[in-house]
Amino acid sequence: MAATRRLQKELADIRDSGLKSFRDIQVDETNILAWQGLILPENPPYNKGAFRIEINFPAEYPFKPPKINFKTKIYHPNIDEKGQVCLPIISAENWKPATKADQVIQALIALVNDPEPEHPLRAELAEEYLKDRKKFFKNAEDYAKKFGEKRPSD
Amino acid sequence: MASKNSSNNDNDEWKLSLYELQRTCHEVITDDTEIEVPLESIHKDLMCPICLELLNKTMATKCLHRFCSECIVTALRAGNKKCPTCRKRLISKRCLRPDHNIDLLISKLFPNREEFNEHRNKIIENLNQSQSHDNIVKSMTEGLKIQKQKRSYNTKNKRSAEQTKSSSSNMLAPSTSSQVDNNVTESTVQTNGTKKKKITGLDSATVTSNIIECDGAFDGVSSSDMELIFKPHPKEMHNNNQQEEDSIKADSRYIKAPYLATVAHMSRYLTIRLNLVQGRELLSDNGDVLMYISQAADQYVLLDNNLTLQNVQEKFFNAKKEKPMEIFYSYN
Repeated sequence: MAATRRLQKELADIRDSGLKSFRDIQVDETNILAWQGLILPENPPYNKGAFRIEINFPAEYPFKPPKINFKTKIYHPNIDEKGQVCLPIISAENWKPATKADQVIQALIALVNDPEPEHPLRAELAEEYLKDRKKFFKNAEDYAKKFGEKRPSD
Repeated sequence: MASKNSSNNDNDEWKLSLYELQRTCHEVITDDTEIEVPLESIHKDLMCPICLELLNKTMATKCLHRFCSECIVTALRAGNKKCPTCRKRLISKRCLRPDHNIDLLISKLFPNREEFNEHRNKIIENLNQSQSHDNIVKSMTEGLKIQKQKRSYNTKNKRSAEQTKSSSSNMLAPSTSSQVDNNVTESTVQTNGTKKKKITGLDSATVTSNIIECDGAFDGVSSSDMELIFKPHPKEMHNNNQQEEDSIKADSRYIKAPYLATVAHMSRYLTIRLNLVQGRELLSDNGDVLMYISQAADQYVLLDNNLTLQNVQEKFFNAKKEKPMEIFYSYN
């Protein structure tokens, strides 16, 4: 119940703030614990597409962290093939109940924009990112164009 | 002091920032001008970071972070023995101290705290509702339905024929026995109405009127329906008392009926409907309701009970065939 009330507030604040890089937020009216939205990274090579993510809040939120999943395939050292993300801010050992969903989203966008090859989920991509940046960019761009959603124009 | 100042200068700590170089001086307020600070902005500073509402029975940690008493206790019980804001170790409730000054401050600043919360909640609800994807879709489909209904007023023949069939079986029972309790009849009609609303999306008045009694004989034959509008007879109905007049005023009924339905059928249908509206047995079943059709302005011709709708249309209504036929009714 506490989770619902807080999430209603957070959702309203996020929608109100009109974030450019996270939009098209869809929340099932019967279940406010599951959000979907579209991430629009600014940095190349990910600025060629939009990526749909799913945020699942546990019933114990904000005492337990939310989980983030990519629904769109993305070529990224910190996001694996299943769409799982390694985001320190929502890991169990780092989570603070005072962290708000919009901070989580900002952190996620920052991670997508600037990969962290030091803590990779896909080691081979991290290696490529470090050793052959050009090839990595090309692959990532191809992926974004092939699997990414269309970026809203405005 | 002097030496301290000079060392500060060495470290460039007194250099003005770009903004400070640019900005014009603020006038010193000398008169009794008051500057209003919006409550919303203070609200953020007096908010519990867990529930995102105004602090309620403030508890402070030793790391000087404040929470509602309820929120922080829940947080500790949830297993994280750490400050929800800074993750400093917080072994138990005993590490917390109530902060009465903050409570007092809040009660001074937000004397009508409940009202304020309610107001905020309403804004949030409105915002979430207006932006909800589902709601946009819902209102769009509803709009489309209404448009469709207006546009294709004439093209629902087959489906409505089937509905008439199904509804007639439901309706015949109450309509034939005149002693049935009105409440029961009403509820039958309503369930009927809602059921069909899902199928066709017509507005409820139209839908309920689809329930034209259509005896077994018609079912097979009625390949197509015709549309009619029932209106109260402007002259005859004036004689009625005021109360009934009011209930009838808005009573233009949009009807779909098989071509082979007779005027008698129409009047019986109307009898049932009007009785339902009145909530009592106002009219008896044997032809109290009379049907008319308008020939010229102010000229109404009484229709014979045995005429079918098709007859009526051929006889009286040739000229304006594209429009739904208007039939006027009256009763005493």
